[in-house]
Amino acid sequence: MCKLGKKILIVEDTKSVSMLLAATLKREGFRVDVAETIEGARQLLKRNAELQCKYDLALVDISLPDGDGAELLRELSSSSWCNARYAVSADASRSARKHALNAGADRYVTKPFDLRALIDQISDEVGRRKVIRHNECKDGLAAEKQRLAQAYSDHLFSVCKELEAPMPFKALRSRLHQLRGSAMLYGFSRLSTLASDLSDRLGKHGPSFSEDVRETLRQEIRVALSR
Amino acid sequence: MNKLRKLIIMDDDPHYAGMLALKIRMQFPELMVSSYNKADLPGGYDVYVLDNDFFGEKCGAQLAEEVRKIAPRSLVIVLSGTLEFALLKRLVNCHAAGVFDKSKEDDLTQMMGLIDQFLLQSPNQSPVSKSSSFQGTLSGIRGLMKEWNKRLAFEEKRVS
Repeated sequence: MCKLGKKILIVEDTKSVSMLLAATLKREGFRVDVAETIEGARQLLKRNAELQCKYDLALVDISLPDGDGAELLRELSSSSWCNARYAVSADASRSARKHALNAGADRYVTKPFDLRALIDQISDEVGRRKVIRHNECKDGLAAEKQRLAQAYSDHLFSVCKELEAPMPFKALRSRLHQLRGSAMLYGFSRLSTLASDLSDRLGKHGPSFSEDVRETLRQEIRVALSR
Repeated sequence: MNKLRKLIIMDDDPHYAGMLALKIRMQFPELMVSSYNKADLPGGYDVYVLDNDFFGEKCGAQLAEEVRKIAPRSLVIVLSGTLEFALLKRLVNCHAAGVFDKSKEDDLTQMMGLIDQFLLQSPNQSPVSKSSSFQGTLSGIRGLMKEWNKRLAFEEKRVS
């Protein structure tokens, strides 16, 4: 199982805060990138975009050494490379909150914050949103898909052999039932349709039709495997 | 603390279960997906995808009823090759959220939509710890009742 990565971007210039947040989020199973400046964050976003990866959430400090964090929030909300944004600030005033929310923050977190509550909020937030997979996981899934497809081809080959000899009526019906579902999933839609049709005909005509079914099915499997 | 949500596919065909699990994982990376090829039910899952036909026996409805007992707040989906009226009626009665034809791509797309709806409506909760999860399922089911009714009406007409 690929435990897929909910990826968080922390933009925070106070090292003790960013380290604590990063360590806690990592312990919870998140993948975390940290930037200390707006420029550093932009570079990380660019690198991620090149890899076709999105951040599931960004935690952005409003007071950063090279500018207003709200500026970065605005950029994040107008791009598609970050799904959710939290603004973090020591300023608890209504105007500061409004400023950050207007810039595109989904939530405004005031320092000092309750770490446990914040982590829970982040988990809820990213859990609700569609998670974007990372390239490495995509590669893993693609390789798995290839392995499954190869195993299925081998399976079809053995089914073809199995169909050479007579088999119990119930087993043949069960085999047809399996083929109609699995062939469709593996992209053999013609085989799936044929299995469905043969299953209906076998139901109507009974065991006397079994031999015809086996022969027709074998032929179609051979055709499917030859493609 | 939020729990990782879990989905189980119960199907006697390991090839079907394997590929379906992969497709679900690709679409819902936040889910832990397992497959199981025996007809005895493991508990503790949020979503159950049950094959109606186990080694030639039509036991989907029975499995769905058992799931209702052991995991009442879970989402139950049944995959079947045949959409018979009796099966549909029995599944409605045990609050299965949907029955889909496993050989139809459109049905699988609908099934994914149903899972998506369930995940969005009951975010990151244990299937047994909070009642709101059940509310989410119920409201998901409400949205699907139209589809159910359409199918039931169609099957009823076909049978009579």
